[in-house]
Amino acid sequence: MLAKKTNPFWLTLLCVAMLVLAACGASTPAAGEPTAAPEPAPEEPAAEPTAAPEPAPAPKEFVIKIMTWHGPDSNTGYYDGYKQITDDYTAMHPNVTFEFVYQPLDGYKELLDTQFVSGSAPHVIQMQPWMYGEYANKGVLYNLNNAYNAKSAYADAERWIDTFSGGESSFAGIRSTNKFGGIFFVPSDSNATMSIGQPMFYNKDLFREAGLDPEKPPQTWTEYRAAMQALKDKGIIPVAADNGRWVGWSLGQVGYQFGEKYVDQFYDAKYTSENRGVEYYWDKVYLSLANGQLENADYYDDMLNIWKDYSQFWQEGWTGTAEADAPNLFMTGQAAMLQAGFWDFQGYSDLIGDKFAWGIFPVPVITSETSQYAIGKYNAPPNTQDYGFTVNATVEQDKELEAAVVDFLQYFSSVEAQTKYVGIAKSFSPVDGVPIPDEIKGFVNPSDKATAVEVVGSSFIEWGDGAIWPGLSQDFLMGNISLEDYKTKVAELSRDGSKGYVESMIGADGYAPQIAAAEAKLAEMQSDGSNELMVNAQAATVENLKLRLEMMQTYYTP
Amino acid sequence: MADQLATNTAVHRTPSRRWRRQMWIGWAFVAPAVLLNVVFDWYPMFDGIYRSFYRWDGYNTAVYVGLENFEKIFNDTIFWTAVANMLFFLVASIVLMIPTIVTSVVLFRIRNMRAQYLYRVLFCIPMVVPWMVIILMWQFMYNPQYGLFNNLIVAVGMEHLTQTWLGDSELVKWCLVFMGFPFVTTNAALIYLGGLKSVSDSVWEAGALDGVGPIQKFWYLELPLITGQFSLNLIGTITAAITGYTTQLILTKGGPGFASMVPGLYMYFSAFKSQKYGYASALGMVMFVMSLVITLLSVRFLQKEEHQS
Repeated sequence: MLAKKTNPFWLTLLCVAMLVLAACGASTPAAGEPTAAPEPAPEEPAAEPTAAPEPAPAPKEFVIKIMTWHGPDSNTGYYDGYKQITDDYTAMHPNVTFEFVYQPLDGYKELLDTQFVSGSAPHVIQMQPWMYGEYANKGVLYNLNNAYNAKSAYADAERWIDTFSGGESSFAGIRSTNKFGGIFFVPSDSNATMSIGQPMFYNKDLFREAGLDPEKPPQTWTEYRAAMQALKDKGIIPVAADNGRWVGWSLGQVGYQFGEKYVDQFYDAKYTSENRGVEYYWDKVYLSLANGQLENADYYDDMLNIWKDYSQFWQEGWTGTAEADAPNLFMTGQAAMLQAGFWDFQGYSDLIGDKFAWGIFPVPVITSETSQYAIGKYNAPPNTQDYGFTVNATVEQDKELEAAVVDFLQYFSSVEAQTKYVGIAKSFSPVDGVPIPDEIKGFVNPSDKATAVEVVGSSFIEWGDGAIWPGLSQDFLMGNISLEDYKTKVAELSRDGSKGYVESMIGADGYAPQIAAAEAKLAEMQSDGSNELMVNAQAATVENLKLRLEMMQTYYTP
Repeated sequence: MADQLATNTAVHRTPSRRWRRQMWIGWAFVAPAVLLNVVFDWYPMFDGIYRSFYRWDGYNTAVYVGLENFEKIFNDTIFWTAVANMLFFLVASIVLMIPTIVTSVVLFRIRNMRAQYLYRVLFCIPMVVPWMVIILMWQFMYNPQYGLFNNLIVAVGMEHLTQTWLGDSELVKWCLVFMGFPFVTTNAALIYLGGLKSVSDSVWEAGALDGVGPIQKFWYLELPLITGQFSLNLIGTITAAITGYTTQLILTKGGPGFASMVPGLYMYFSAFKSQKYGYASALGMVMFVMSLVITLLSVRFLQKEEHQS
């Protein structure tokens, strides 16, 4: 008797069904992950920040995803530090575990954009200062205002926000970077009350070889230039450069030593007095760029010529050198100097070992000896928080997850966790009472020289189209375009971008809804009989917002 | 008779039912591929066309701007610089198809089948190396300070001939083209080889009887007989040259300045660095039209040549 033949139709249907189920199964969310793709960004500004959540309740399990550009194989100790914090938190809350999503900075934003659009962005996302406003305005970040006003379970202060160096006032500038007036990140690896620089790492052996005193690195730009010339004359590459971040860094080294309070000249005294916070400064820069008032400041020629002169001391072919290759030049002893941040300190220490003697010195100040327009000072402590971790707005869809994420971030910023963290990562902490590791004390600029504020510098270049100004800058530094052409082109780019921002803040989605929300909150506080200090502070917030809108409406010329 | 009628009816009904069943089986097999094709190829294409008429930052509501994006492209000097660079890479890519053709013919002429097989395998081995690894190796070789090329030049005592390679606006495009050395594309070579093998042996025998020499055989027999394969590879080469940008993204980011900027990279930067997704979509549309026009012209030219020969 013949075996019964399998019906090919049903077999085929079964295969197709299995394929479909496999595809669907991959998208089934695990516990703690966002349950659905986020809703498209709302056209109206976000509503009031959500109520302060309660600490993470047990025993529902969560897997909190953290995205960072510090991976397990990176040169820094940051990943190890973050891992220590998460491990300690899990030890306290076994139902909460963590998964790190690592992406190097190169491609970080591109990946993040894709993840937000596809609804797969992690819960906690490390961001650079220039990213918060953009993503907050897109409505994809969680507003931490209420969480900050609540008490942290891991600190004695009355409110979580008071545990940070600089207190609540250090967050004022952040509120101005988004149309909701909210705080959308938790600071890390920085300190608002310190002037932290990105110094030059230098090879003492090469300095000695060039006839320079390695124990007396240059303090002024004139001395710096002389040192670079001596190195170049000896056939040593003075400074290692690359075609990526170095363009912006070198521009910042030079640029942000010009134009202190430059924009104030365009505005009435009531918008520029000392009690107007940094948020006014950013508004004024945007306005001035939009109005074309920063197209040709008197200090530009000096600033740009110094920058161009600087570029002759970078290695030949730097425009074809990738970011990873510049540190290689320094660490193999071919280049005498390399600019880096405190985050690179530990990694470079390990890589250099005892190959050569090295040290660090702050970027030399440009004095009147070099340019009559130079400030001759380092930037004062910013007194504004600017770097840290944001939260994906989708956590609001699950209140328990929301509570767990906020609780974790409050633990993350506790003195206990931060003290352990800075010891591992060799980093700074934004939290009051956390010591600075000895190894990186040299990254803090001398306080007697760190007094420059509201420095306009090279904003007219860097606030332009990020896809174009680096290429234009390379062309300028290589001599392919003239100074005048360069200034004209970059100014046009930044003007176009700033116009869009100013018009959005003057429009229906800008200050108006922020003012309405703040007034509603003030009315609520007054009717509730809230503490007089808090009511006054809220009233000041309302007045502040109205004044900023008034400034934009008064001065903007479309 | 009724039995006969019933049998006839059964005979006519059965093939139709079987045909319908087979049709459904066929659809069931192709459905996943069709679905994936629609979702990942056709939908993004039509979405890109739609977005090209809007100003959109990727998140907020898109604003309809009509042909504004295309007007901006027309007046965008960086775009036209990128197009000029792209045309350079396109011409270079087409010219550099020749080594692959010659290699395929040489391979085809190897009499010893074992030797031919061995060479085919050797040609295929580089395919397993990811292109990213190859790019990074070339980046290392081109490094002006510690790269292979400058060190070789110094080693032979010609230090004055060292170059900055990727850091030189004049040389960077040539450097990127040279990365394809020895300019033999394995996929294309296998396609040509397949085409030559499909030709009837009687053609080669007739040529041998007529006393055709190796050069004449190449020009008058082998080359004309692989015109179809050449057209296929040409379309791929044109599309890759017009839309490709991976190498520039990794090695030069379009620099120095904009010396190696290509439309694909400009589109990528417009989307992910400038957050101008509408403008980037419009750039994509323009690149598609360019690719289509050049491809059609090339294929038409080849068909005309084939017809004339």
